[in-house]
Amino acid sequence: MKKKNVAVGLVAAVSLALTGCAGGGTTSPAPSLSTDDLLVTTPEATGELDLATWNLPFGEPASLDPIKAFNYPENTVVANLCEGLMQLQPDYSIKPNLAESVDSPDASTYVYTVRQGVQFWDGETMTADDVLYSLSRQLDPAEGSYWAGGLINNVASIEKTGDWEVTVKLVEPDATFNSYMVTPIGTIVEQAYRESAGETFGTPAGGVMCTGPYSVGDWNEGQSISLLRNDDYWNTDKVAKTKQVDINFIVDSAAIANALNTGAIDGSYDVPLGALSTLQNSTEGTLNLGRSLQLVAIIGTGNGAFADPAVRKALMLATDREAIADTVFEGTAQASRSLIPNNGWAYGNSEFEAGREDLTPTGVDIDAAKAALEDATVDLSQPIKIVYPSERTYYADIISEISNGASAIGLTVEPTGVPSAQFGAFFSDPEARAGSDAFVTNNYMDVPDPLAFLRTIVGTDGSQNYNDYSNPKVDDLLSQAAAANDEDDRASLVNEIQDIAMADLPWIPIVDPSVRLFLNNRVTGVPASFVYLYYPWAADLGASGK
Amino acid sequence: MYVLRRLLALVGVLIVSSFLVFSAMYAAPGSPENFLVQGRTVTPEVLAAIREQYSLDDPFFVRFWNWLTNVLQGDFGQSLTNRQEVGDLLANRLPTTLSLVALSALIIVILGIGLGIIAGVRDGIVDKIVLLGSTVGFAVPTFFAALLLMSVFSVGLGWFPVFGSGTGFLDRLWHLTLPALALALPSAAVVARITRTAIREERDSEHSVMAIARGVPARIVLRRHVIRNSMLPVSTIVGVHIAGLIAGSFVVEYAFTLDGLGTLLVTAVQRKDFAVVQAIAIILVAGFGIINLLVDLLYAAIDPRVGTRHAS
Repeated sequence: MKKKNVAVGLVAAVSLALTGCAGGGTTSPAPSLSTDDLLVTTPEATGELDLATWNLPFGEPASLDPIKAFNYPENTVVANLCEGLMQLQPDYSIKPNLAESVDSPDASTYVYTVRQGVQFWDGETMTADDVLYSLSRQLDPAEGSYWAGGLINNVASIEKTGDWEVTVKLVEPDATFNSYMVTPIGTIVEQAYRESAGETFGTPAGGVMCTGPYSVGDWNEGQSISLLRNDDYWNTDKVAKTKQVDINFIVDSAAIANALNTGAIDGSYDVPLGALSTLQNSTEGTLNLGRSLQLVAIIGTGNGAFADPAVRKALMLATDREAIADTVFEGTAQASRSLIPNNGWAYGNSEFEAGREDLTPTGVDIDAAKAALEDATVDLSQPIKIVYPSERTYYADIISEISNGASAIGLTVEPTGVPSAQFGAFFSDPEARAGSDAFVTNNYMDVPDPLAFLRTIVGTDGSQNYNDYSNPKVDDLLSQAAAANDEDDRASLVNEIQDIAMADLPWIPIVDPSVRLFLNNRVTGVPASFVYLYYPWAADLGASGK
Repeated sequence: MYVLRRLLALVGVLIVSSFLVFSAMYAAPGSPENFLVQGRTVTPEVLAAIREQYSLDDPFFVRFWNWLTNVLQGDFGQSLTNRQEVGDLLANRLPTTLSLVALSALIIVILGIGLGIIAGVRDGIVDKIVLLGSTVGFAVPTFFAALLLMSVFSVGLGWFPVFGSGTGFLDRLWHLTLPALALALPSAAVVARITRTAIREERDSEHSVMAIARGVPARIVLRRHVIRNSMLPVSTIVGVHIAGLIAGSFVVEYAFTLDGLGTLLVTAVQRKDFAVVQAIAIILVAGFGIINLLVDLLYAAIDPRVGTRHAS
């Protein structure tokens, strides 16, 4: 792996020793990325900085309102401004944050003791009423939370049960609920400010009012947004190390490569694939690869030949996914062994690692693919149309590799590019999906809990179940796992679900992309793992002393 | 009177073109609320709430009529994507695009006409160099010129910044020099070509030959007869190219990450952000119309005969 420079921090070393290696690859000698190389965090900052510059390669946030934050640009910014009752740590553990503690007598009841002495940026003290109000915003259709549905539909009541206590009751038991308190579902905003800001809340005009280590400075639209250090931050151990962080919105990959390579910008998560060749050889900084919760997959719509599980299985076995990881992702991704991104868990480590070992290895196996195809009951001569957003050309490369594999076993795969405005509809409108057999996704786990992720894909009512997959056995296992209090029990139930999911393959997993974090030599400290959507990464950013 | 008539016609063109743009946006596939949620799976209730908030369910003509009457009252509406007043949104972007276009126009005029005159007047090696340069300049696509300029002058030599549009006059000038150069290059090449040809034609024309024969000093012939007369076709082509810059600025704005109208327009079209697209379309059409009007007025200044012809 001469291409990447891996700087291993102390925390990274410790945490990786715990996770060990789960790499398969017994069938292929290809130099695929092993998890041992992936970082959890970067070396701790040794000093403070007055100003650091960052970039959002997916562009400008549309809103700073946490409940409208459900994508890379918004969450990467909001994570530094607004905080949840719980907080996701770089090692994927979950700690109480704006809640002082959480008590869960059973998997249907969550009692949050609200932390006292926390101030919003305007000096107002956070109360249990702010917490009650913020959580209840999810339930109000007029607020239009992008997080509504799924987990929220299962909420029976949210009540203030004491001066400093808020209790959430669920309809069905769900052991994953508390982990969602790290996401915007559990994020607290100031009630009075939200109500007076009205429609402008979250916009450059109205802003937000939260408790985080940074507040919003100048928002120079189309160009950049400044985060200003909150010097009165309640958590005195975690006061931000950099006084001001200017976050730019450069989306062109050549421009990003230039800006990072000349030091005009200090760092960026998710650097585009097109910028990798420049940045891997940069003397100005280092490209760090971090542990991730991301998954690139092909989603079936339930139409055409792709609707047959045997066809999907054959396609997966015939596709050289390791080649995709090595060429399209230039070695910054691993071929997916499962629908659960590798190491995407915060509990049941040994269970999950063992469960993964039982799955089919990621290498190409044309004979097995042909054998799988013999079980197919559909007309195999029809072309399989896989749709992708045409602006993202790397998808075309991925699909053409799939197409190569398909032709080796006598199938035809047709890539179909559509504009991204149209592509977005594939995820919410069945009519948009009607004419095609499959579409691509760059997905990620909201929280490092395989149960929460698989549920959206294989649950009968799953929010990401696009081909009406329904298996009573899976649904039964999902509810059992959600009610399981013991984490190892839960993990082994999830393994059973994983086995069925990998046999039926409602999605074909392609690769697990690593976090691609570029840091200038002068800065360090931010987490390298996939926590920057919810963890205040900018507060850890500081001088490296170099 | 003539100017007034032209301005009224421009208003008519604006209404028709905004209707066409509105219809095209309406007919294009995809829906704004789906883009708002960015490919996330949300409940039908949330989508319905968003449609309701932005009156996306009103019939087509009702929506266009509401938009038109609001615009006539000076209200350009709200951006669907970030709920901002379109006026505020444009106010932030307009200065960047205007400075970029102004700087490019300056480069086109100085570089294009200047080199064209030199090549037209001098024969031999100078002429050959300008000809070759203009061919190359015209052949290099804007995005490539942008990448090339950036990698040589920003990344390699470090003379110019790699992104951003700067604040304050000098800083802005510094930030916009390379983008303006990249944007102006093809137009400057065309203008240089046309200027050169026009100058050569005028040099060989009967009145120039006659003036020289009568012993009028070559300098005065050049200034009064050759250059002035050749400016008629040149001003048309300069006008058209400058008007086109506004629409073409997107490519360099994207490459240099400038917060201009072009990038805003493209993202707004992708997101079906009606109000923003409409407002920018109006600005583009109006800009084109006004620049053309100015060119026609300039015609009258260069050649008094043109003015009388219009007045009749």
